[in-house]
Amino acid sequence: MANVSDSIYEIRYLDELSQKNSFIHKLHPLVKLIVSIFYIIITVSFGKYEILSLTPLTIYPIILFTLGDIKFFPILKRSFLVLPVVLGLGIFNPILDREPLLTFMNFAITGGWISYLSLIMKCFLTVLCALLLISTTGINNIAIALRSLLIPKIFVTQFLLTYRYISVLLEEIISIWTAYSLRAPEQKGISYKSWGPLLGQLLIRTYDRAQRIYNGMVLRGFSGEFYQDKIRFSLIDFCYLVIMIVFLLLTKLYNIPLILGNILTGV
Amino acid sequence: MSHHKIILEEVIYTYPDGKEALNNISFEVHHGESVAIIGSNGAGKSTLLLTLVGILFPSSGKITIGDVPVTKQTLSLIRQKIGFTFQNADDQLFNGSVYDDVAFGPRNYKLSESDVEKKVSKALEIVGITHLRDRPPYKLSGGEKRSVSIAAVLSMDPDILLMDEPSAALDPKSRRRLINLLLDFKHTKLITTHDLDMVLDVCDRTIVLGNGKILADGSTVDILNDEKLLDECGLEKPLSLQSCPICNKR
Amino acid sequence: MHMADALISPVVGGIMWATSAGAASYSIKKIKLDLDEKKIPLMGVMGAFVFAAQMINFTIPGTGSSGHIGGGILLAILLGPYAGFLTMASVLAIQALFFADGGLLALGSNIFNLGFYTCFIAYPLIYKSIIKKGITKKRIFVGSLLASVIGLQLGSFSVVLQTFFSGITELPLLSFLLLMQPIHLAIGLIEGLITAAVVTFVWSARPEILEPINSKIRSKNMSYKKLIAVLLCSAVLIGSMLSWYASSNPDGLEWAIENITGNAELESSENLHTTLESFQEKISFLPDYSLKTKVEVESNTPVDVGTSVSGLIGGLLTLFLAISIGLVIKLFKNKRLKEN
Repeated sequence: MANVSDSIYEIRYLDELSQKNSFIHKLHPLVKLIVSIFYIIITVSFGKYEILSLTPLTIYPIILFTLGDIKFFPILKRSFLVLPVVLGLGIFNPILDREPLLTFMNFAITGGWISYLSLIMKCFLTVLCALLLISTTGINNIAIALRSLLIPKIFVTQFLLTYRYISVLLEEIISIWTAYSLRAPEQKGISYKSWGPLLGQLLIRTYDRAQRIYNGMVLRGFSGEFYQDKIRFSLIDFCYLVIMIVFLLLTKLYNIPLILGNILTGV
Repeated sequence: MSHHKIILEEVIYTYPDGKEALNNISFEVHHGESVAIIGSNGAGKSTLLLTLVGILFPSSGKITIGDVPVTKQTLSLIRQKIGFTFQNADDQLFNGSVYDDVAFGPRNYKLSESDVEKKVSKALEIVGITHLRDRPPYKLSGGEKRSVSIAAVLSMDPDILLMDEPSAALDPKSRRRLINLLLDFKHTKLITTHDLDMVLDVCDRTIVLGNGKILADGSTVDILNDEKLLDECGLEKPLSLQSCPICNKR
Repeated sequence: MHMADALISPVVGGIMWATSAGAASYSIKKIKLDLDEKKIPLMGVMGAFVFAAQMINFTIPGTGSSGHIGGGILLAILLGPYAGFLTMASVLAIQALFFADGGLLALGSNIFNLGFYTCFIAYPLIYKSIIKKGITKKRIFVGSLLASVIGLQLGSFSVVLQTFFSGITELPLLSFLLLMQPIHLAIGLIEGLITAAVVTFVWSARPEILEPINSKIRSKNMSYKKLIAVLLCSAVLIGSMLSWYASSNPDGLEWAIENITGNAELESSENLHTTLESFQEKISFLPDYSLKTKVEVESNTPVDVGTSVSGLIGGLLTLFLAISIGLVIKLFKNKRLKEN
């Protein structure tokens, strides 16, 4: 059950990254959330043939990697995991859209290939953005950001609880799987005869656990209200927000690479 | 100091399916006493603890903590006096950081954040885990989790500690640390366990439960030396009281 | 399947976000009425359960392949539709953040595709109406199986529509549907069988886990209709507002409206259109769709590369600059580290 232990490792790795104390980590989580969402919207708002305009957007992840003190390759590796879906769906573009749009050194490049490339670039940029958000912010601070967006406590609380118990449940799954596969060495997955009992029993145990957790809460005075931290906004947060938004709007309004290229080639 | 007594009078608890979990239990625990509750699996130990804090209510009989009877109306008061640690610390630590978990109780009693901070720091210090303060609980070892769950109830300044199998699944060193910690506490303590060697170290008095009844109630040394009684209850004389397997001497 | 950010346009993403947020806030209101604070830890832990359980591979007899459990129906059965929907939303949010599975912009769509159809359509209309005649093991099995299959069919249909309206794939709508629906029929059957096996096991081992929700079912039918009405209205409203703004070319939604009504623009949008037009040209948040003929595409959708040479040079230069910014920050930081 390699994928389960991978997930535990994954979550813990991102968790550890979020404990760092860099410039980016210290920013207000809400500011980071807003910038990330704005970044993703700008990224996907470019037309399917507009690959050149996407290039300035690479600056944002690069800044987050360096200022946030995040190692490049582990995060990049994770962003590959999502690529297959996009590759699979996008492959119809070069097949179906054969209109030549560009000629470059006598090669005609069809619209399909350009839109395929832009799709892949968008996929990378948006995935990097999400992973960088969590690895510079952490789940508890995301919860704070959600609260400052006035998302009801009840949702934020259960969001945090789900996250909290994911590693507990994943560990239980690993031991169930180990127990199963030790006694059924020839099987790749779990045989249909065991489907119900295996997951069902885990479900019942989980249900009872929820009961105990609730007991643990009321025994310590819980009455439906969860405490939630707040973080104050600082001037730096505000500046970061403004600079990033202005930068993103500029990339949207002006084709920066083309301007640079025109200057250089003197067109 | 007020009297942190626990009094049970003819307590009966029947499960919804009709099975009797507690059958006419009466005993009294005095201020500052350390009492072990032992018995085989399914003897009713955990049920007993749950009735003391009003998670379960007895079908008949009366429970009094301090001078307050345990009823639906007094729960908040009762639970403030009692610190209850669970067998599985994971069930008790549901927050994102050790600090938040230890602060959970005080915050629920609406203390100011600066008071909460004081209580948390003190509780962490008593248990000796100040260094774990900002760690997420799911990354801790079993022993560390146990310590945090104890700190999480100490931060509420309880008079009485109820502990369900505190030494279960601890490595020997963590277990020893736990025992030393418990010896330092001046609280009234009620501990359910199978770890009879720990009982010998920590508790002066032992109550033996079997099939929901009290089979024996007396001094720990007497009870743990009564091989016949222990055998009947599905228990075994603690190792430290058994004769040496090599030289056959005590 | 999860929608990815790259597959969705801001307008479609925005509409789906608004719709899911609407359904979520309605659900929160509903659970608050229940005032059952016990449910909070149950929702949390069950969310974790679904997250973890989805990682177990179950072998499908007779084939070499395997499948996993579907979450939405199971959560609705265990927690009721409202709490189930919220829990599913949390699970998807965590998957989006930590595994980049789906994405932040596509999260609204994913919550809708995997949570809404299962909890608010398949669960009440199929599962509940099957077990209404009295709970038996067989009915529970059939109910959860059918509900899973239909929930997933609706979900994948929704994925197709969202991708299509986002104008990402060149695949015609019909072929796309013919590709997606059968695949998800197979997946749905597997998910359904596993879910049904789990639910029936829980029913025979600990019926009280399923009981409290089932006993409350009947009284809630009215409010459920209200929810659907509210959602439909808000989706149509937001959708039409955004589509005025979206583009000077007919976009996906308008294209659909055009086909249905034979009228390209809603009358009232004319004025708004002209005033916004100049601004729109620059800041259009909606990539131009290619639902039209190729000729139109060429004239409408800009290739932003200019003459290829200066485009290439400009692009490379920009990337070079981006990387140098990174290197400069790094150098600067290392220097500061050494000085300290």
